[in-house]
Amino acid sequence: MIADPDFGIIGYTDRWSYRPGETVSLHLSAKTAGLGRASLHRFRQYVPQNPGFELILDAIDGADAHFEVVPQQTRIGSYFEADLPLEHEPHSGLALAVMVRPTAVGAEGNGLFSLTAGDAALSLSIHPGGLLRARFKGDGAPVAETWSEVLAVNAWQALTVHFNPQAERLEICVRRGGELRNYAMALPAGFPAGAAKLTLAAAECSSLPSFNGRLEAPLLCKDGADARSMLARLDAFLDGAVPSEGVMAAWDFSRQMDSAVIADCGPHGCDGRLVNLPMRAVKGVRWSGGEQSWKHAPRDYASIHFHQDDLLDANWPAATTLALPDSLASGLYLIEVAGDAGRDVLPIFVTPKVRGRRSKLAFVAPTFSYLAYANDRCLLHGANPEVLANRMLVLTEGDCALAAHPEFGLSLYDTHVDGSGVSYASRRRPCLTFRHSQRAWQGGIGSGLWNFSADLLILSWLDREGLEYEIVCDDQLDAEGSGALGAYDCVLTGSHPEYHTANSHDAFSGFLAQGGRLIYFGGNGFYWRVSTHADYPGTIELRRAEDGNRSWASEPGEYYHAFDGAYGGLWRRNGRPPQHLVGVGYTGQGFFRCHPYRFTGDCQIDRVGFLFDGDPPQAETLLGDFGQIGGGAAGIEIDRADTRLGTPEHALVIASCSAFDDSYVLANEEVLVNRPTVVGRLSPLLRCDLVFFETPAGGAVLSTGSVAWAGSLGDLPADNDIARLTRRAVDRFLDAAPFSVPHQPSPQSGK
Amino acid sequence: MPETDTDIEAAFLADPFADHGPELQRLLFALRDQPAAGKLVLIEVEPGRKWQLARLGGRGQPVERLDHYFDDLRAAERHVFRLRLDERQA
Repeated sequence: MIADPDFGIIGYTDRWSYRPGETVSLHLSAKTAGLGRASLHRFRQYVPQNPGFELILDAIDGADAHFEVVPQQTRIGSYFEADLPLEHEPHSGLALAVMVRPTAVGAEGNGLFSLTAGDAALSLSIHPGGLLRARFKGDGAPVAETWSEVLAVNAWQALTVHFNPQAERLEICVRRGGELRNYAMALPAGFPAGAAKLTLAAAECSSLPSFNGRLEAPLLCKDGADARSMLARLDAFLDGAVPSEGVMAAWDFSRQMDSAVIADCGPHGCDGRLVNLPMRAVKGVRWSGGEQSWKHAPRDYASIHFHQDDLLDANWPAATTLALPDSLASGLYLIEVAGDAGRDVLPIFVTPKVRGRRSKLAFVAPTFSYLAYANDRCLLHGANPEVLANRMLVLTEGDCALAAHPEFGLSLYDTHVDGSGVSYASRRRPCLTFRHSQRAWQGGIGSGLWNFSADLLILSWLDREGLEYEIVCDDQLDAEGSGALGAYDCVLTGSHPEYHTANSHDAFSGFLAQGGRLIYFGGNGFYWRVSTHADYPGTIELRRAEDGNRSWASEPGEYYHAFDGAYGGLWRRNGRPPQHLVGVGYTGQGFFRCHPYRFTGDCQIDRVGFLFDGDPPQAETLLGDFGQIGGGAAGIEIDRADTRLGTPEHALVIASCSAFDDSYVLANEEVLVNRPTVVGRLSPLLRCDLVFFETPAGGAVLSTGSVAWAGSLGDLPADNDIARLTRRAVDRFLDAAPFSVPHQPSPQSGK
Repeated sequence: MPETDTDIEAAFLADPFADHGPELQRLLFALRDQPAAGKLVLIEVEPGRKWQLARLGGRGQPVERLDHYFDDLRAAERHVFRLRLDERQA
């Protein structure tokens, strides 16, 4: 038995999935320095105790490690940096030109630019009201500081900075709307020659947060050109002309859109680096609306959007490592890290060395969906989920720890401090919602189990039933594509497998095309398209484009991913409605109360006789009138069958729930012209369908269309109608006897 | 016959988790639809048994724990409903 995290120690692992024999790197921080021990436990069950839950684990002997932990700092905020071989230039002068579009300014200001060499530093920062502050510290000299031009927020403007230590002078020019504003300050002498570092969107020498806003076409010249000539060079560069005369370095942000390296177009090869993954593929100065994809018009997308709350990697050193035994069975494991300062409990998935050897039954851990929700702060500062929850928000200790640590970054549901949506999520940081103890307002009234913690009930049921299973994660599906699940006869999803890449989506369709049997245990699955990138392991990109339930919306013109150029948004808008894959697709949501299904006449059809052991219920019989999630098996996020969206004509709607209360609302993508029938008791589309269909390759699909199914599956008593139906489905789906598609369409129930 | 304010409030206090009529639901939307900073929330201090009243600090700010505990979620809803009504009428 291990206790829930108290977050006196907080940690993250270098990955979320491992294979036996691999080593887990534990990155830990604590409120106070101290000693501790890491231990590995195999997850077996999470059992309702009413109230609360009890963890049932098997300790893994020999898989432990001692560690020393100290408080760690996390540098949050994105910026650009480049090393400059300044040999003589600082003495004869440097000039920077760049397009700037601030989007928010913090009360204490935000770093915008710095040039550092040894102890000397020149920096610019932006402050409330758009004021620019210039600071200079020469070798051994006191800091000189002055305030100058005003930058407008949410407007593009050209900025030039002329730095001439020899003349002991700094000149700043801002061009906005064709008007030039100039400012100059005297500098003390003393900027050294030699290696220097240029930083944009942050001031390396200050403790200010990094910049919020867009930058484009930074250009560095080594001559003493005046502001007008620098602006002329900048304009040419914006049009795509690589400057040559007098140029020391120039960085074209339209190139290498998927890379953290920004190649220098200048003569010295001063390639720059992007730190903490600022947003690429965003509209720039030249965007006209003529093109919507950066691939079609790179110059239109030559800007980068930096945020003070971007975070790719917390960069904590490893406090210790944990070697996974070579014989470790595939499954979910919890690593307890406990010591003087407190404890955390870190989940990891262990995937098999060879798939399908121990079991032909696999659970696909929806790690992309866990990641999308990681550090969801909507309840702390977001779009007021109390109205959606229809009750007061209940926070966990994890939520409180998250509020106390803004430096752990945001989720794909949050907005940045400037109001723009968060498009990247990384695992290389503490993800405090990825804990067995997490509860959420989305989990409905009752246990509040949601997403990862709700999926524990599916794994608990498998263990309770004595069904051996292996685990495969979205990451493996993404890496391997359509053949990734080929070793299995039956595959189970989690309760909310919402986010998929093209490859992880292909893995499911490929599995079904090969005769696989799939049980989709969730609702709102296969909904958003995300992308991954080899240069950013453990990270996904999302655009909330065009349609769908969105906690924020992508800017017009920014619907294409930077990672791979894919058109982002709903899979439905990418020609892959969930109904086409699993027979049902998202239709609405409500986060308060869940309800039972009612069996339809289709449950009496022989094709689904295996679900009832030859004794099907009468139509209208209730199914799942209980559960740990909202008190019913149908609810939270719900899916419906719809042949117009791809549900096979021969699919059977075995049971359905259409008696939703008015806290349920119809999905946005179903509303072309709004009308007063979008709530639970009025909308005919707000129903949750339990669907079965056979595939042409001899396989089959059973889809629950409900996030709340897991809450009933894992509830007590163990011998309940949801558990019985699910067990019979798994048993039949593991049976090699092929399914066959009926020749004639069956009667349709409510499709 | 139109519901009075007293009827509407009594309906909520009778069962905060019931399906409410349109007038009460309208009132609840108004009371709940407030900015995050300063919003009253609960912290679960003992799973399913004990909750603490707390106030959100807003973006980047910690949660302020208040010295008020509940052993029943309905009691917490009633308490906060009354506080919000008082604040609205002040």
